[in-house]
Amino acid sequence: MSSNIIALQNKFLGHGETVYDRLSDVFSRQGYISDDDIAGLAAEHNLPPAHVRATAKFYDDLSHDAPARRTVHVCNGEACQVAGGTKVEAALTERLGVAPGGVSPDGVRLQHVTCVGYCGRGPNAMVDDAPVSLAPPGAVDDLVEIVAGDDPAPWGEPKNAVHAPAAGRPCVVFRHLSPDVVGLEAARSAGIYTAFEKAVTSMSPEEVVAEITASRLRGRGGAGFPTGVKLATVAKSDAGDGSGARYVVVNADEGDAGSYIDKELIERDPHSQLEGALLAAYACGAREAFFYIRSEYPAAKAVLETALAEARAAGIIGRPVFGSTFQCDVRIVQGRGAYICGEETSLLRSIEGVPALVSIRPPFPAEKGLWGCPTAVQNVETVHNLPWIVANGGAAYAAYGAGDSRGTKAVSLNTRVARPGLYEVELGTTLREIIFGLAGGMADGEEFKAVQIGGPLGSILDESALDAAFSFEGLASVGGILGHGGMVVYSQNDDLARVARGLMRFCAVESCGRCFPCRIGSVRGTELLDQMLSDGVTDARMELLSDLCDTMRYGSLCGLGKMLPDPIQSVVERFPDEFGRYRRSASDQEA
Amino acid sequence: MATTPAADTAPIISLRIDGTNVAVPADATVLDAARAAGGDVPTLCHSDRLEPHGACRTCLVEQADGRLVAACHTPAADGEDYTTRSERLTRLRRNIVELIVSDHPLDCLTCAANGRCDLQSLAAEVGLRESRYESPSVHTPPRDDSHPFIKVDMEKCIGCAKCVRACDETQASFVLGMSGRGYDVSVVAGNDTGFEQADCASCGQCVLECPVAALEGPGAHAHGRPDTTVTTTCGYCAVGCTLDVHTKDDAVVSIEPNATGSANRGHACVKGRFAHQYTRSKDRLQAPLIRRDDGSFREASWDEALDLISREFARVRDTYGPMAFSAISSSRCTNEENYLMQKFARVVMRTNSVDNCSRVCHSPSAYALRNALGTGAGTNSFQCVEESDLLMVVGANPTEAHPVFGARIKRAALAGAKLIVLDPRNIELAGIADVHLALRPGSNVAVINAMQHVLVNEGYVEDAFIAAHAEGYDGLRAELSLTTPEWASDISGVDPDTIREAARMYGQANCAQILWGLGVTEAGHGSNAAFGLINMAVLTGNIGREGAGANPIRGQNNVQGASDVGALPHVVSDYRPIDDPVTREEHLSAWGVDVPEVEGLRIPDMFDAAHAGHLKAMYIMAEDVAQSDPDVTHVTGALRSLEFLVGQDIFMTPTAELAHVVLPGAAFLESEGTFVNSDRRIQRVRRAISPPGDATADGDIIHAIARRMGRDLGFTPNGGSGVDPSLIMDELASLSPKWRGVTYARLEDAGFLQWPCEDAGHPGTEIVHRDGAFLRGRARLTPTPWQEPGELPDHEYPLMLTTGRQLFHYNVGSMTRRTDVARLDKAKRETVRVHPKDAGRLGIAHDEVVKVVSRRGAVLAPVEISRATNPGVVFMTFHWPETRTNILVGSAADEHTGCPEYKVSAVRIEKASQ
Repeated sequence: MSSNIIALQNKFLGHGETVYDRLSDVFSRQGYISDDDIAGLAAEHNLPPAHVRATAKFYDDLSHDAPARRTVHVCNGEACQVAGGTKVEAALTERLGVAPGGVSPDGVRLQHVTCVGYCGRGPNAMVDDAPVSLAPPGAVDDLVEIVAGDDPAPWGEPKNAVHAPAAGRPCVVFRHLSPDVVGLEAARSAGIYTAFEKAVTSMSPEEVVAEITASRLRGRGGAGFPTGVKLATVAKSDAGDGSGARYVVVNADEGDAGSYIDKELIERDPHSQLEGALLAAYACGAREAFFYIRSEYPAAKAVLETALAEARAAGIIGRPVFGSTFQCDVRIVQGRGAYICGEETSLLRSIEGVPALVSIRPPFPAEKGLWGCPTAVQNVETVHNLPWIVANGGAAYAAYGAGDSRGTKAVSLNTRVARPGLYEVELGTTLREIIFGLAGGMADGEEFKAVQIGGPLGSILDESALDAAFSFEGLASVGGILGHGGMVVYSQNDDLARVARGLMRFCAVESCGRCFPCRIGSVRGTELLDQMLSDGVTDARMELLSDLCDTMRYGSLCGLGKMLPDPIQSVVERFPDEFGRYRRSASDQEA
Repeated sequence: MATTPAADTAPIISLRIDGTNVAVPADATVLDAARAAGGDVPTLCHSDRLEPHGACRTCLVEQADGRLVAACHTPAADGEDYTTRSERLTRLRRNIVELIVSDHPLDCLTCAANGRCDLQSLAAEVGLRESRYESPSVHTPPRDDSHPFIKVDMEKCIGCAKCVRACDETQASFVLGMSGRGYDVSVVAGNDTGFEQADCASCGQCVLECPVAALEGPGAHAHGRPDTTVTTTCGYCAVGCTLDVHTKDDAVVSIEPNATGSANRGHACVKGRFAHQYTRSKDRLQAPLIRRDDGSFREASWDEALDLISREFARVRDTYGPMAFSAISSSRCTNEENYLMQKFARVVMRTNSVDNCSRVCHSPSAYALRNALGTGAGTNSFQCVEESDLLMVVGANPTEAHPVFGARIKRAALAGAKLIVLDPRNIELAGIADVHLALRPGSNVAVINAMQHVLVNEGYVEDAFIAAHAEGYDGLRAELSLTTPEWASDISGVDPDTIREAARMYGQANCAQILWGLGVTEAGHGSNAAFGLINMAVLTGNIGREGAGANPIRGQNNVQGASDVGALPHVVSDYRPIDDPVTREEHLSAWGVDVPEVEGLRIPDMFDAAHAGHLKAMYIMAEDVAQSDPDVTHVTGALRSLEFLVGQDIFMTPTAELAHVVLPGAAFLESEGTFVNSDRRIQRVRRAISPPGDATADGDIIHAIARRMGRDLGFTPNGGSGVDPSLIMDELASLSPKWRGVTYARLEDAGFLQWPCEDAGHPGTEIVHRDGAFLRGRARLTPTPWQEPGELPDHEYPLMLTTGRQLFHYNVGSMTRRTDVARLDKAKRETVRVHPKDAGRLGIAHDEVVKVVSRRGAVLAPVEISRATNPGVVFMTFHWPETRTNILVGSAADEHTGCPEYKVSAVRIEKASQ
């Protein structure tokens, strides 16, 4: 909770080493963490047992206290739910003989997960560490058969479709997706790391910041904060402890259901990620960068680890580079099943190894972040833009896009459209062009009802919003958000009242538990929506829901609780029939 | 180094709160501003003692643009216009409270927090009657009443984490955690094993912070809500915590740390907070007792007892002369009572033979500080540890013996100050120290000399500071020339490189503070060890500044004051020598009689004099010398040989049992006066409850004896029987140059004054000897040649016994043993702590009762196998009369002050059957 615990950890484990890492190691080794493991770690490192326990119990993975032979994670994200995930979950519950959260007599743990990043292929699940699409007929049977034994999952990883921009259209973040640039040699032949070399050999950090500022790039994680301003703030801030330490943290905890942008950028072009992180570090004066990557993305983590090892072996990372004095080390920290760690302060606490509760702001991470030092927390896609900007100049980037939304943005679509997958579009492109142009319109038999942009916190928009621009201000003008750019399209087959209930439940499951409105409100909201769906919508319940949404929106500490009411109220307001369908008759209400 | 601007020069911003203009410092929060404007904002998770948390969100206020911000953690913005009360805010707050009570039992009527519950008040404020949520899922964890003081009912928990934050931010114990995530987040103690198993220090800060009754003390349920609160100063250790004592029907319901107490800042420890039941123990002495011829006691009236005492005291004085009488005053009693006692001895009995227990604890500190620097007290204030970049803790275990200060040291170390610990034991602070010098008991001077050797030889000496402000450097340097770390290593068993590392760390610090305890003074040659520590501070210029200094951590609540006011045989108040002509003149004028000329007896000399037949009568106030003083057999023999002994105490003690008359005194909760804590802070002690039965304030008893002997000591307005302590302070101040500015009126006003405080306009002194202005003129650097301790282990007595306190007991334990705090001590009896290696070698098992034998005697005690001591060293406390540990302790003493070597006794351990 305070800096005291961090000081204790630094004292007994060494700087930057945390209980979280040790717990994570135990979990990797044995798949669960018992009370004895907690007591043992506390005793071994002379740390308070309450701290070790609180840290473990914050995370879904690290909370498992009993062994399981196999683990099945079934996705309950919106994209998977509308793709049939609810039925899959019911089938698995029945066939495995265990409800989500439990371990079957046969030793199979069934667990919810919200998004494994194949939203164009759903419904999805993970068997141990292997993602699997359960869309094909018979897939559930196969899965049940596999987990009855001990053999690894035989099927290959599902593939997301990535659609490069048409010739002549701006292409920034997808610039290296066509050729295979995963290996270092190929990456270097493709020119990756030349922007970094250019920066450290011919530009001052201030000049790099100036180019990024000129690009008018805004953070792609959702908040849209100007990247140049953030880097400049970090560069001029100081922890005041004489260390001069600053950090870059790349947020690869892409937890929004329906988005798989960061996952594909890392898996297909890991060296551009590293290069972008190094550029950010050079620009703001950091000597250490962290990638925080969610455990639901094992493939992305593996690819990044390999790339990091190659870059380190080649002397690009961890040593002075290109004849300059600049050097930066990079570490990868793995998430352990907590959506809230995508929130920047929660993420920083997670790296620090304390329970990842959201922190109050100010201080902002750019001034006082990781271990109290100035920290630039940047989203993966943001970072991916930096080499291009340094190579081509900020002005070239700013030439794309419109208004205050410059450059391009990756967007991901789900199975309700004809051509699901990832697209890179110029900011300012209309929603209609994306859904009905690029993605080919609705899939067979589906009629457009609504679209939710920006993950679970984005409002659900009706048809009237389709001519809005896909940009920060364009979506704001129709009451929506750009967010991280995940797009979930709903059709006539989707019950938006149930979607709203699922979102509230998501908030209840993922709330960090610090602020009261989100912690309690999300649970009361789930119960209330359940009552409305099973027992009928009444005026009193509607008013209570509205009060609750206001309480969470104005009261909550971070974006999760503040913004989650938006999609719920958007369903109430823009799609009156969705809840209207559940309305009790007037006579019932009086009774 | 960045300096914090003083409050009066901090930038100020102006803003409006509900239409009222207010100016606040630039770092103020909106909540601070709202309070500065005379209002308040509701909060449930906020505490002024803790960092802002921003969780409950009931403190939301509205900015001019309609945006809502949490007042508790949002910096106030210059020029902003905040609304703290409006229909919108009330609705929002009501909705939040509605959420909270949807998972909170509504049993206010039977709840211990009824009437003082923050949630209840806020619900009333916003008009919440019931929650609209239908059949909400609720948490119903079971109650846990197993802890004597911390009653756990987590069904009532609202998840504000104040308890967890208090355990972390205030107490620095980290016993509690918020475990889990979201709705199911819950407070756990340890590895969710409950408070009992969690190594909880039971400071009660979690209970104090709890806004509801999830954590609740035992008082309110037993007594109902208190109706009176008295603010006083704690009577346990010398931290001097300001306490709010809540009473009802003349009994203590509960005690809480006062939020604005200057020494403790709203923190207290298990003893100050919970160890008060002894005041109403059935064992309290409630009437004077006179010993029958057969040795048993009978109750007597005050008249009879006072008659007998006055007759006997007069007889002894008149028959054998004044030197046949001596008094032992008490560091447990107030300054005023100590002043009266020394005045009684000098004016009525005509002797300077009055001493107090600082003789057996910190007399070497006072002696060394006075001779080296010019004042017999520490140089800094407690709060200075927050400004130090290095703390060196020597022979002290503050997390157990001075828990509130211990927590502060711990926090400072975790906040980045380097920590060096010199202690033979693996005490809690050693666990987080940068360097721990686990030296052999008795080898302090060798290690301290070696550290000075490194400072001198490796260029860490501030030559300019020494040239300007010190003397004796050449002599010291010569003495240190051969005291190398290698030499000290042979004596102390500490690796020479570790000594070097510690010395360099100290030498490199900009702002180092040395804190020492009885492990320095009660070990071989305590004055020299203290001189050596002072030398280190002076050599490096680490003195006379914020965060830099040399400070003893005094043991008992008023051990500083008892000496300050003159309960010493060679000086009167303010350490003025009895042969100083001005002092004598002033006293003659105030007292009407001269101060006796012959220097009096020190406590150990008193016992020797009794054995020799020179001392015939003693008056011992609130000291249990038969349990607490070394070589107990020698002490009890001395007391038995007296013709007349008066014991005055709150319980029948081993000392009182030997008395001819036993007088029932008052506990600190029953007394009026002042104490001086370890950092020279004079603070008020106020009566919260009456003494039981015929028990009487100690000052009134002394006064009554004097009056029976024909001498009115004064201070009784209208000639009544009760002394007015404020009048005593007036006389004391008039006779003490460094106290001259002290009056009760000023103490009431300011809460405290730190002496020196030389006149009515003097603000008191936070840091003495500022910027080289030593009260002595120049600081004296004192060579301290190494001498062996009085005892060394040998073939027959191969182990070193060292003694000390533990958290849940206090000194002879007469108070703490009569409270439920005793339940927290797992052993519930004395044990001898033995390292596993020694236990293995001796073939003794945990819990096995063994005989601990020294050259003086033997005691039986069960073994506690513990890595808290190191091989070759065993540890015991002296809290238990059943096990008189001090029988083992020798009579070797500091050559300058007579302070005994409690910390160093050679012993052997035998199987009890042998």
